[in-house]
Amino acid sequence: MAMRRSLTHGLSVWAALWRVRGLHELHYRANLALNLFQVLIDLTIGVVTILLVFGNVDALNGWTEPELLVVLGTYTILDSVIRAVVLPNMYALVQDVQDGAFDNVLAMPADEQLVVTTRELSVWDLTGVLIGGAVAAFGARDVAGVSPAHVAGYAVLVVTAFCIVYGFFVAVASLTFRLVDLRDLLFRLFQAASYSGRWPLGIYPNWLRVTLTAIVPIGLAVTIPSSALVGRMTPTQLVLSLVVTAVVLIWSRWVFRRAIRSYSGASA
Amino acid sequence: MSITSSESGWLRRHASAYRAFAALDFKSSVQYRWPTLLGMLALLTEPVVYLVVWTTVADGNGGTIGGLTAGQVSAYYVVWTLVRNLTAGYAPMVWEIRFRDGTLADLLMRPIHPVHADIAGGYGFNLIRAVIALPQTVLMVVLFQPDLSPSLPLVAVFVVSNVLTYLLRAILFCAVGAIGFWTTRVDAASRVYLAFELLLSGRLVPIGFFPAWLATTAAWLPFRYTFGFPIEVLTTTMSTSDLCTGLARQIAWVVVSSVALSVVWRFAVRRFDAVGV
Repeated sequence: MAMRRSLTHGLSVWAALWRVRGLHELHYRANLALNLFQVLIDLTIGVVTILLVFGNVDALNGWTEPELLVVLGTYTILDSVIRAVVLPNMYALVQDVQDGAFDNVLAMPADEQLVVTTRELSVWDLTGVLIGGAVAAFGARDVAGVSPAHVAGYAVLVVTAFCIVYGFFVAVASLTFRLVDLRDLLFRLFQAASYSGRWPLGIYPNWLRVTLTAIVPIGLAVTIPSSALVGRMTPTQLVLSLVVTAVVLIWSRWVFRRAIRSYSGASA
Repeated sequence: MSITSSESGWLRRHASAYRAFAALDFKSSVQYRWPTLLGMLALLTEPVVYLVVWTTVADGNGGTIGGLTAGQVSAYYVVWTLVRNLTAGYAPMVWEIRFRDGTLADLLMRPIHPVHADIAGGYGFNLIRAVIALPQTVLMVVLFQPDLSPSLPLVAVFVVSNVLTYLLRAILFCAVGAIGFWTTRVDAASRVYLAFELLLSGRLVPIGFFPAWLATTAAWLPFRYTFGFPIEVLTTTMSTSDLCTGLARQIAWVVVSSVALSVVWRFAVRRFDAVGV
């Protein structure tokens, strides 16, 4: 009963914070057009790169052109959600710790991690979710043997992919309680995510696969749902990816809870 | 032609301001050395991903792509890493923060254009990056065995070209940031600019991989001179005339972008209304 009450309270806090942010974002309607334009340019860059690759070879370490379009679409979805939800919130956390405004978060009658990760929302960036979904669908059309079960698995695993990336960024942003100014690092990690996320992990040699996943796990996050959609995922890998997601979420929660203990209030 | 006393005063004032801005950002980068170091490690992801993708493609294509061997592709992205670290500056997004929290008001109160603070500050910040970039480059050379053996004169051209690249990038970033005088938010415009830069500068792929029409277009736009040209100096075979033309175009773009920035700035600054103060 207590858990249900706390869940309902959490959801209402989340809804209230997003409503406020949504209204704020409506002031900047010109950003919709610019964001849309930017997503389309990003996609063009991705497609041009794929065309350049497949103008020279038939497959990239076993991945075909339609399969890489699925990866590009999945990356575009995740990239949009990171831009809309994850990054603005992490920047706000760093700023709050730097100028002492994190005191206000601690004083709120709600879970600190919930407030810290839901109070910012860049609504217009979410247009990329629709566009990325369309690109993934377009690529999947030319992949043999895609079934409704694959599509359902893909939809679920896109959510788990987001959870992996979210957990990773929460854990990294928690370093701000010790290192303070992390904006540059967050930006660099986001950029690293942008470049490595456009390609499936399978194209890299093993040592690089492990290294890239350790630096920023978006390659893993993008590869999981994409593999499910194109029929490259085994049931064991499916279970393993769900376990990895749970572990990342629990780990990031633990890191965040430990980190806020060292906050002493810069403005106090 | 001799320098008048007012010109020498102007030079002295600017030189001393540049020293102060550079020292300030250098000290800040030393203070935040761990985030800087971790950020630079994250930055390695980009060239390594490109390098692996394009050397794999070259291997699958009989050993070459766009006229470059797999070893030359490796060399391109090793030098890429050096250029990226040495020419990093204040991204246009920094301007959005200045508009939103009102700190631009402080910058405008100074008797010197904010672009100077960005150029000098970025240089100060890059000093520590240059120190970290050297072992980073050595590591990449060991891991990826690039086909790289530049002559001393080419290294000298590379250094000059790198300085021009840094200047051009800083001025263009400032010009994009100035859009905030009209929109307050710079994020989306900055991303559009950076997307064009990514595609047309040689950052995503060497321009030689493009079809001829796109490579020719890229050669006439400023983006190639904000990134790709210094890399090409060290990693491709360029004639003396090509080197001179490239440097001349870089200088021309620095002049054109400086004039454009000063014209836009004159109109832009009239719209400033100190958001957040």
